[in-house]
Amino acid sequence: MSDDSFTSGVLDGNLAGLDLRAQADLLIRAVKAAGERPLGPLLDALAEADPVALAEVVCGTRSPGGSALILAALPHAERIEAVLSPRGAWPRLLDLGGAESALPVLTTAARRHPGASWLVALSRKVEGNNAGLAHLTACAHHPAFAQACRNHAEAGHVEGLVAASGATGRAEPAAALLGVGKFDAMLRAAGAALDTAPESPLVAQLAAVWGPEPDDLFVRVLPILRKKQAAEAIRRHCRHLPRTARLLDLVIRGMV
Amino acid sequence: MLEVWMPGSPGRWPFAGHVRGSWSGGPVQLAWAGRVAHSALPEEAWEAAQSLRDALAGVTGDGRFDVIARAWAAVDQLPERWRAREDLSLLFAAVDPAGVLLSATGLAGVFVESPSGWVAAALSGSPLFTEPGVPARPPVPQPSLRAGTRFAGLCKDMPLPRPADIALSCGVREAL
Repeated sequence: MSDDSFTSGVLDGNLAGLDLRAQADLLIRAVKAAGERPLGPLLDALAEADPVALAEVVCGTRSPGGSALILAALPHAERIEAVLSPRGAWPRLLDLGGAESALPVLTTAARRHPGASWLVALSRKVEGNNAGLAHLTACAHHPAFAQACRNHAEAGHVEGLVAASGATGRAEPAAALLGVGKFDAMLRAAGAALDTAPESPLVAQLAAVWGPEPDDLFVRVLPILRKKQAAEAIRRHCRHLPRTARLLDLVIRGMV
Repeated sequence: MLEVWMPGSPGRWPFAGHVRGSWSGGPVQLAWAGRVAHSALPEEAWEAAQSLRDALAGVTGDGRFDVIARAWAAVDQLPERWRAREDLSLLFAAVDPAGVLLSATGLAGVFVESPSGWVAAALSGSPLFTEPGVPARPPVPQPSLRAGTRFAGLCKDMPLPRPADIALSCGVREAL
């Protein structure tokens, strides 16, 4: 069999007769020679036949890397994680894939491990100033969301948290920012959350971070309100916050 | 002015379900701090705290014993949904010209601010220290070991805050 036809067969997922672990170098050579050919069939076949060989080809020390390989590997993340620890595998996939696959790698990692603390560093590497946005958007409905917000807040990922507030309409990013003393950023995040989801439980979450007498706090929050629906939603929680309630009544009367 | 504080819990939602308040009727004053449903999600804990605030909102009294008795009667009106959790921690302090009284549920320590710092307001083994929850009968009020106007109640599962951090750990903040 010629090299070309061997490579072609391997890329089509034909692995018959190969000792996948011992001959991983042949597989890697086929990947390098693939050019524009899709790598999906090979990785599908490897995932089915031998996750160790899959991990070796995708992120072993001899892996050729490249965005095409890493993007093709993402559907097989579970198989790769059966061989390599997630904490080690995802930074490696990120490095090997380069800029083109960085965001899909981060998003896939976030979906699979919403509560992982190592996603904070990974996010910073991929998203820079917006660190946290992809992670938090991916795990907005996971129980670990609040802890993930807190982790990003402690890492100083202010812009990512504000953006995640707007993207998800959740109150947790604002609460996390309040928890680390970023008051102005908290206001921006709260405003973004309410713009997206006027019924977002901002009062309960900010009070749970702030303390048992949050009246002063909410008086400061009111200027961010742009929607009557959001103002009315907050007003429903203010029967024991006299200053906030009084101001909100005025604000709501002035809103259309 | 009489004040009662309660430290928040460690974690993301330190003040979930926390309330603090006071009433003043001339020489008779009542102050309280407590928490309910603190381990619930913040939305549910807020609802529980609002119910506790509702219950205590109208409490008045003619003396320190009377106002504490009325306060417990008000707490007894807490909806079953919150009572059933059996997680209420609450400290009342009441003062009139004859002195200060304390009464509590679900606490492990009570402290009073003195000129030399925060000191114990009750000895271990005091009837002030009970399991959390709405008491089946109103607890018998106890005098404070030391005079003072600012008290803090420590819940059973709480670490003792450092004296320098106690205000912030109780959510007492400078004006914004």
